[in-house]
Amino acid sequence: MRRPLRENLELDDESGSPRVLCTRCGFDFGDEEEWRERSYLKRQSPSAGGPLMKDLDGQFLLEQLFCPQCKTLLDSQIVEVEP
Amino acid sequence: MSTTRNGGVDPITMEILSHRLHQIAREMGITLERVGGTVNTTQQHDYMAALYTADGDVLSAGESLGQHVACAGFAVKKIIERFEHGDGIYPDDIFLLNDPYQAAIHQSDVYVLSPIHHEGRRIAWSATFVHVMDIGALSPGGNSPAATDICHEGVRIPGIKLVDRGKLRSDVFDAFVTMTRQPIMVGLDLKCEIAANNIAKARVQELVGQYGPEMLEAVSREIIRFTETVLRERIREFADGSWSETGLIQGDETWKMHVTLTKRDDRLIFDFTGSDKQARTGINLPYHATYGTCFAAVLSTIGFDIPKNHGAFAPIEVIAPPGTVANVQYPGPVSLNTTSGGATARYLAPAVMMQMLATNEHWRDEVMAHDAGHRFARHAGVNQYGRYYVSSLSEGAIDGRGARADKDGVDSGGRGWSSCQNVEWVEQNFPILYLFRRHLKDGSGAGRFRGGTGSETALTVHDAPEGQIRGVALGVAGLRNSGQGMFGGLFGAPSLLILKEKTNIWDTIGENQHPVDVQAMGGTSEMLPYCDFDVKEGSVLYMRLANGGGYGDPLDREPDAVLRDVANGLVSREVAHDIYGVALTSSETAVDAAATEELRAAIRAQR
Repeated sequence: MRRPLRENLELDDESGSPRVLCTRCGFDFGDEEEWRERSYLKRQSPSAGGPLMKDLDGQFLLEQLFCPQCKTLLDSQIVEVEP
Repeated sequence: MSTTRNGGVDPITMEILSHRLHQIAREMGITLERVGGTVNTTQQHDYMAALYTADGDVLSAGESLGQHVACAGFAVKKIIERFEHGDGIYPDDIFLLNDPYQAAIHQSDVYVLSPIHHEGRRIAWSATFVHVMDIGALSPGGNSPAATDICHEGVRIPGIKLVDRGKLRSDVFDAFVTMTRQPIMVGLDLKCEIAANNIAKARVQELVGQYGPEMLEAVSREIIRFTETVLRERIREFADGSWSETGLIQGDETWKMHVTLTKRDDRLIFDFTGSDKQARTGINLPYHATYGTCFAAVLSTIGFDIPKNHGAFAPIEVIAPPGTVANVQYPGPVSLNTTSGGATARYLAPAVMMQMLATNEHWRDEVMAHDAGHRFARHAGVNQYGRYYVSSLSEGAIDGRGARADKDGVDSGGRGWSSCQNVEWVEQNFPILYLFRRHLKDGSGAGRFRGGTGSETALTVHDAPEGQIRGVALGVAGLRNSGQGMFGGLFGAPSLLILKEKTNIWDTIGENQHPVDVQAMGGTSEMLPYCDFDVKEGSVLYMRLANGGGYGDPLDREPDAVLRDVANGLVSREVAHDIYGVALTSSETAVDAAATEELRAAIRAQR
């Protein structure tokens, strides 16, 4: 049985051990705890998210997670720059 | 009348009386607006009106703010505890409470509570609050950035009888309003609350006269049971799991508020463990306010179509370690909290609920990105008619809303319950001149569905007898406020509060030009922290409100929707190209489909 986990990701537990899959390309992210680690992570300046985000540059980073196979965007976070 | 189902109430009578109670609560709110006179009550709708059972359980929330509905229930219980075995609770009594260490959120929110009796027996309570125009704190308007403990934050009443068996206690009334900067307006605030409670009493007594007190008790019991039953059933629809989110407030220090929602069987546990220690600035929330925020979040996400009452308390547990920003301990300050720590909690609790909703096929279309608050200001001074005043700027009511799973966020959708002051009305009543209030281009968070576009405003003083007015800077300070994206959706542009001094605006106006370009205004520029400040002649207060966060991957957005946004001036051609991957024809009147496909493939390849 499959159920949504979030936009573009679903949880497949037909085999008895639930797997997180990309709904676009079927990429297997492993179990529910692993999908973030198995995503492709890209860090850039917040202004990459729009010109009015430039005030955040230097103080924050835009962290984005993508499906490593089809490059669908899965998550965007603004995180503090580590001192 | 049939009384064979629903705990002795036939379903038709239950439906009629449930709606009648809801309408009574609504009429209380309308009464507040009609009798009240302040901006907060009549325009910003910063009030609450609700009904409670004889024991203080929430009976009908009407259409009021959920966190206040819950807190006023705690206030009713505190009044019962204090007076039942002391000075007594009698027909036609009315009580007042505004102590955050009892049940209020901050002192400015003054709860007025009235028992409702039938033939001498207490059968219900009504309660209201309005954010009074002043509370005698360090700063005008009640929110005091310089306060470091509760004793700096104005009048604090743990419970007092304001009306004794139908007679207004003028000693109490006069003492209360005299401790504020605006005795006439605060007096009007209190009287609109008394009026709303009187309306509630009359209407509930009419209902009981028609149906009898036993029927009111049975209906009260059943609608609360119904709400609890429906919520538990809905919670069971979700797979067990947990979801976390963190909010950030950047004042003179940085404070984090963190929540983890755990769904287990038919229960929801909101755990704020991991939140920072309480601040010496008044951003802190009392526990009951944190609880009330979670109550509101559950009802607004999975209970929006059922009666809003005490039935929502039962499936919820809220953990907030004492001494943190989510559970302040005496004498921690709280006066800024509703728009800072409160706004952060009002972001966090729905945000984790939304993550849970996304895991269920039936509920996922209800998902919506939320915003983490905005900046705004109160203002005070002598107006052009020579009278001292205290008021609020209400542009928060035209925040851009977050995108939904199936549509864009609402442009200038605000918070639903609040409305924004008319510019001309502000200029007529206060020594203020608006330079502009407009939508912000490229402000909304990009996504498959974009966030709602917010606003930007600039104003200056004009015809001020003292040459300046005082401002108080509020909201979620820092840059991680505004709309937060969901599932890849990008963030809305941060909300800013900037004071520009020694600008050239009057030169520009003297040349019969309209100063609409903030950069061209010259002068100095300061992003305001939590502070009191002066807006002097030639100064400009610039406010950028919250912009909605986006939902999903911007490369999945319909190109025609991007074209429409560009045509409407909400998205620039550059953002359309760089972030949405949409190539427009040179005239910007159509999408170049082939070039768009190529561009999106190139952006995807560069990821």
